Amino acid sequence: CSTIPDSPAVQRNWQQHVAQLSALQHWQARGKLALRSGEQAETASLLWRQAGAQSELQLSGPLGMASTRVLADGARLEVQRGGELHILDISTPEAVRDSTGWDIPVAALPFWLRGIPQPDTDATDLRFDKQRLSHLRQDGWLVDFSDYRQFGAFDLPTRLQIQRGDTSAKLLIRDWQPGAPQ
Amino acid sequence: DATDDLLQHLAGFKSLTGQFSQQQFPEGGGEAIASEGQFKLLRPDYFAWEITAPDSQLVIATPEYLWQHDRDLETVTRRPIAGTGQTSPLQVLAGDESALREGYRVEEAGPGRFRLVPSGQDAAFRQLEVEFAGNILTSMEILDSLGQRVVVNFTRLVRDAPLNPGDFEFSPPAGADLFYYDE
Repeated sequence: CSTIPDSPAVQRNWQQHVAQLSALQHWQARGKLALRSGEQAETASLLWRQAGAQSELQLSGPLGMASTRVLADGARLEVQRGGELHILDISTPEAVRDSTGWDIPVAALPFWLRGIPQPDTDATDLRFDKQRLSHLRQDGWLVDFSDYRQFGAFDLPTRLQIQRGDTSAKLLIRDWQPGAPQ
Repeated sequence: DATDDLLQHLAGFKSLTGQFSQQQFPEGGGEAIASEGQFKLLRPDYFAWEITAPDSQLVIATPEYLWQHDRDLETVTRRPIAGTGQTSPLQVLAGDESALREGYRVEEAGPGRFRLVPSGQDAAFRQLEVEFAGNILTSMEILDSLGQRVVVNFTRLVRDAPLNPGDFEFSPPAGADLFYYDE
């Protein structure tokens, strides 16, 4: 796969693709997530609802065990688990790790999930496969996209993996619903 | 009382196997997420819960460990049972009488239906309802700590099928990401 789309036509296609997906402000993704760090590993079913800058994640294990809801809007993170609500500052990545124990790129994930780099932060080592992003490095994270599928007018990732230091996450998205909930 | 009545229903079997279909209703509405699979239970400490569609996932509990194997994500985690602290609904049904009496307040919730409310604080779920037709377990409904509802219907149940601990042994497949909490 090539690193930067070469021919102008390919480049235009990629720019259009990024514009189309950046404009997607409301969406829902349902699937599964495996998180792993030096100290812990979890897998859970995932329901991700995005509305503008507001992300709502519902995570739960088999039989509804250890279910957790995370609300994030870029500055604040609310984690609700087992009847306890924690409101955490996530204005900086360090704050995210200190408060959640996880080094999660909360601000970047809504973009990577859509198969595009996070804007206003430089992304390097972009690689493409059939004009879709297959790899990028951003903010020290290695992000790999191994599968895409068409959902309505949108071509969206269904398998991605991110890794930085001792933290890694695998996401499998079974169902995308791009656009505001009806 | 209701606890004795529930225990009487549960007393009838040493092992149980069967199939299930599950509907998970996210908190705040939205369409249910369906899955199905099979399970087996050998009282008091063994159970295996295998989702076969659409995901491929296996949870196995032995007296020592809780294994979770996600075939789609190729991950295996192993936790010492003592460390889990959270008893899953199935372990409640498989568990011994004292665990049930101490850990849960039991109420009748309809004909052959019981509601279990954990007495402890950090329980794995807010409420569990189980329903029997005669002494046959037919369904359970879990209200998790977020208000998500998981409804499980059981079918093709076989009581006291010949099971032994060996049926609950698990060895991780090659190539899976392993994470052992006690190592």
